[in-house]
Amino acid sequence: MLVGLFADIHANREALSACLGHAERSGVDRFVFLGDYVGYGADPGWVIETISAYVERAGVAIAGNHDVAIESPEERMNPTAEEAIAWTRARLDAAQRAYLRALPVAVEEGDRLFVHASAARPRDWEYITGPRAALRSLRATTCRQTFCGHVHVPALYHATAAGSVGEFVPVAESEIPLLPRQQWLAVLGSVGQPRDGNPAACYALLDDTRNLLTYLRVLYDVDTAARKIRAAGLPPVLAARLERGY
Amino acid sequence: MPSPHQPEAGAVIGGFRLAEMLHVGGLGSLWRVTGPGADFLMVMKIPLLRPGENPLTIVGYEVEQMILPRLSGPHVPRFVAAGDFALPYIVTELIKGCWLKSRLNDRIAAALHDIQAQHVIHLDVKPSNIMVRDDGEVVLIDFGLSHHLELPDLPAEEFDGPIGTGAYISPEQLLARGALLPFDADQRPKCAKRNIERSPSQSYAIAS
Repeated sequence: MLVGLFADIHANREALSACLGHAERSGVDRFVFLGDYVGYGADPGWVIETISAYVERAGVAIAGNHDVAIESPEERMNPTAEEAIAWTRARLDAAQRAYLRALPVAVEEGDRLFVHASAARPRDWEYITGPRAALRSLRATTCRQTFCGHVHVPALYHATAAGSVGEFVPVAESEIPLLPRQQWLAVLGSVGQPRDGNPAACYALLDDTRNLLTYLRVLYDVDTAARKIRAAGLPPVLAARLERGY
Repeated sequence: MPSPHQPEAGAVIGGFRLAEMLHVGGLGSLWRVTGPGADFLMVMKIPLLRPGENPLTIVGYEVEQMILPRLSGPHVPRFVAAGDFALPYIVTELIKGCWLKSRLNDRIAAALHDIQAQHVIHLDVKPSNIMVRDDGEVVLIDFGLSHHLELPDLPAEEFDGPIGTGAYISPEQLLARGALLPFDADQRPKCAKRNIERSPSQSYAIAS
């Protein structure tokens, strides 16, 4: 089965549309959404409706910190993110808010764990930005493969039996075998707000028969997404981020 | 008698006639020679033993003079004769063949270039990991320590310290996990110096 993995969409309709289109053309059978559907972008409602349709068809979705923040103003965020969440909160209808509220923070499927941030304490939203944080997450689960987002920069970690952790910057479109002897932690890049200097949307494909993970970059209409952010009165820096890719 | 240091074709040294110069270099010259009593081709090595010359030339001449007469069999050139310090030379069988170096170096380099173009650095290049097809094409084998620039580096995490084969390990492998070739220079010595003195840096990044 070919699984599409999508993280940190952040209300970016243009980016999600491009990635889903790419996934459909690639023959994806199952769709996994790893949180942060809203916040920052101008199309939160459309994104929620879209992912819920895909989940109903064949998929699973978990909550990210921005999704939780819609119902929990006490979630601590930076001022720009809080401004975006306040803007978003006012634009979601009751059903959309209920959908976010009902999302689990982690889902295990066999030997795979889907979580937005670290598996160590999912609701603490720890960023996995290096081997130490990766090791904390890997030790917190017995699953051989963990898929998460939150960082907005693609990375792949693997733990050896001896407890050391390897860190790897994935190369787009290169199939990576997730060998069975190692424990793997894949930090997906962001669909809707990449921060690795490459403005192209990022998502990944998992061939779960052959255990091959492929990170992908998809070009999308950044100009439209950025223009909509500015037109909506959201912080202009959020539009500029899309254009810069960081 | 001609000077052994500046011999000319046709000269006779130790009873051997110099027929053709095969090679000349800073350490001496090699001549195809003819002489009595040999039914095989012969070569004379005439070292430069002038005062101030490289002492290694002198010692090398002494060592060959000692050892070659004691060796026999198909895997060494047959010893014929040797001179002395006044008239230094060694005559042996002339091997009609080619140098391994000249035959294989280019092909090994081509093989390494080819796998590196496929994003792989072998990291354990040594004679036992280089095979030669019947048609002469070089084949690199044993990729167990290799690194692919688009795949996680498993050995680097599994093992502490340098990984490789002692006699063949590269400086960057010895100093760090030299999976990358971050240094380039217009001359090999400069490149080697940079490899030794500087730390490798990660040169790959996600590409769209």
